[in-house]
Amino acid sequence: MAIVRTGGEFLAVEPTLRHPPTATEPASARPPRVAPGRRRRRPSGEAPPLPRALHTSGRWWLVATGLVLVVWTVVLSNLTTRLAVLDADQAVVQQLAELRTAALTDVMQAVHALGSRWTIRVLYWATVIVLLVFRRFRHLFVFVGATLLVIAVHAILVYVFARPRPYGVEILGDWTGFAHPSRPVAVLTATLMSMLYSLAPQGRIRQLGKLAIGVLVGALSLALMYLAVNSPTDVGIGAIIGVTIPLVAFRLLAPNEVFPVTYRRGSAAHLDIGGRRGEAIHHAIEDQLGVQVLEVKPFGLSGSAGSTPMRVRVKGDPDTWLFAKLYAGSHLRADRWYKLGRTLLYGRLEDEKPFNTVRRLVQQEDYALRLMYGAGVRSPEPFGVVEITPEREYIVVTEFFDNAVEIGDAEVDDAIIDDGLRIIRRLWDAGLAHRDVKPANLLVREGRVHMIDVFFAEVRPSPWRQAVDLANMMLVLATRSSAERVYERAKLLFRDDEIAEAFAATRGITMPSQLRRTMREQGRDLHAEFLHLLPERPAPIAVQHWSVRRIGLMIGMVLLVLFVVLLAASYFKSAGLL
Amino acid sequence: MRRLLPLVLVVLLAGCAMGAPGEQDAGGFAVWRQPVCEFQGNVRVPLLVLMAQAVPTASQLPCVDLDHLTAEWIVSDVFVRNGRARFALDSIHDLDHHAVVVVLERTCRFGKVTRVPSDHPGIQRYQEVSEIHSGEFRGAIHYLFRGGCVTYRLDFRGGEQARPLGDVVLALGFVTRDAVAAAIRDDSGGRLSLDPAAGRR
Repeated sequence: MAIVRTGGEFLAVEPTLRHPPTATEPASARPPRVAPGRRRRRPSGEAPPLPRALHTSGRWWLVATGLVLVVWTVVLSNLTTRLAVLDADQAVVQQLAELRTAALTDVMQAVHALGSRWTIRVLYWATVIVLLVFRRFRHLFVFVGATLLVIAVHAILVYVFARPRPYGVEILGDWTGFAHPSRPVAVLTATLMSMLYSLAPQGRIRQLGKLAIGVLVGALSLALMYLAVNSPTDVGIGAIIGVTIPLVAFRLLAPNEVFPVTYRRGSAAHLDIGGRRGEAIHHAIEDQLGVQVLEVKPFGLSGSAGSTPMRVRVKGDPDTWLFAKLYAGSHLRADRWYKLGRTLLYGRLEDEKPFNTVRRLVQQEDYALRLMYGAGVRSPEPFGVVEITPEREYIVVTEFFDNAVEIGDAEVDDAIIDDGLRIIRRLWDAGLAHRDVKPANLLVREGRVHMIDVFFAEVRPSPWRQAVDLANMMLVLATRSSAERVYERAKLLFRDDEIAEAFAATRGITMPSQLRRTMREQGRDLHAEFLHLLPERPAPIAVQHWSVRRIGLMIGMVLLVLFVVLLAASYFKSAGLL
Repeated sequence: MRRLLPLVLVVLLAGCAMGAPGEQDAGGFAVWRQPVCEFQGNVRVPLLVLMAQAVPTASQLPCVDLDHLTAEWIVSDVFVRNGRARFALDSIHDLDHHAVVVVLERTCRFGKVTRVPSDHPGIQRYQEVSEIHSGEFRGAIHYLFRGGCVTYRLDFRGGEQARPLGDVVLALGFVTRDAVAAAIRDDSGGRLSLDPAAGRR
């Protein structure tokens, strides 16, 4: 038995003898050499580790704005109160008009330009470009959505209130349409607030930014009233809408704890694992896996685009590292796009059905890990799934291969070649395919090859897919040795026709990009070398699968892209942003 | 909080539905927001006031006379900014096309026009025919008055030139600036005036 108790306090695994549990043995629910912690079931009604909720201030803004708009609508619906408001507005505008001088009017005209369409357009598109450059798509969507929503809400309110410009004073500034609420104030405030929440990191800069927005919007409001373009209540309600909608949108859809504003370059797939999320990860792993977490660190970010990988140090004798992958909605969407892209590029090679939920995605990863481990493939031992935010964020926790090196950096001798090929043989025998055999997913530790990242694993794959796994493994091994040597060793485990089938099935697009890049850097065409070694050159197996569905999907995608571009252009134009 | 939000929304919508005076039904709510010559006897229609503010010199304001607007026509493309006001009439048979575009400006630019007897007292009328062929009619009617000019740009399709032109000319009218200013003054008990008092900036 691989897992043994040591002194009743620690669980330990003898590494070289470790083998998967048999049907009669329970699978280890705790990492090797890990001190057990206190498992805790979250009772009904208790918030999850990282609850998804509006900030309290966001809620109050929402409620306060709703109430203000209700009260305001009622006030303006009644003739007596409406006239009282108009009187008050009028008094302020006329008082300001009394102050008019040629110089002051010039200044106010210049300030008025703050609310012009061109100012908004420049601010808007500059922000869009910055967010695109830094690949902060979540912030980009919230930015675009919040500003467009403000414009839409403004349009509705303007129609509902149908309030003309201030009476009895010469209007000196440019204006368009009804006055209430003030469009320049609402749109400038919304744009600046959205910029602040999508561009400025939380902290002092953001606080100063709020102050600056207050000054700019205040100046614009004053100018609008001075020029008699708007009255005080026009600018007041405009500012309330302009603040509330972006504030609530960002706090709801891109909360700083989950989507912090940072300017680190890196994969957009990687989520920040510090701050509140870091704390949630810490507590969730402790509560749900029954271990004592000492540290959580990002790990191998450059090698992963489909999840946020990390290392977790847990208390033990000695302290042990675990490997964990955080999956969120962004990864689910990335997986969908990846599969759609594959279907469009290659046709339907195999199962390209996307996952519906993050939970199902992590279930697949956990299942694949258990399947591999159960099949006796040297792959990380799964320790389970940890819930961070229900239906939104989960972590898959596995054993961490300490002191392992990527096969691309290891000495590859006959034993390693045999070991790698034996993994494929075992996968074939178990009716499995890994589907992502590349140097980054093959680690060498203590003279043995270990296979990681089994997310794409498939049960009962097509023979073509199994053949591609073999070819890719042989190509990886050959990058660190020679095609002749790998071919000779492969013949001990596979028949000539199986090897021929492997190289008939594989070609450029079926090889992971890292493997292609490695061969290119070495200046070797290993695929051709293997073909040359085969007793008979096999006829290539067609990779491109054409079907009515694929053609329809391609046409549909082109039409969809065109439609989205035209729709967006028309919407931006009507919103005055183009 | 979640229970409160729908309540807030319902109250907000109810509040909005109350709207301005004299708009107790949904139809009234929409009509009050169109460039109509009067609504329930009141010429203080928001769009007329806004048009008066757009062209502060204009002594006449173009509008739609609901009593003469047949069911075939709808008002669309209302746009008012400082210096210019515009709205269109579309036939329900061709909603993608503005058959008539009414523009109020301080001055008009004429092409080759002919002065014709005016259907509105105190307003000069000029007519311009650009194109008549195979059932299409394009042209313009210009109305000149103190401080402003209104142009009807006509673009009729469908082979019926005379009838729609007659419909449109009958359905479009004018309200004097003085009438709108008086309505504002009366409604506010004399506290509000449309235009600045003489000598006031």
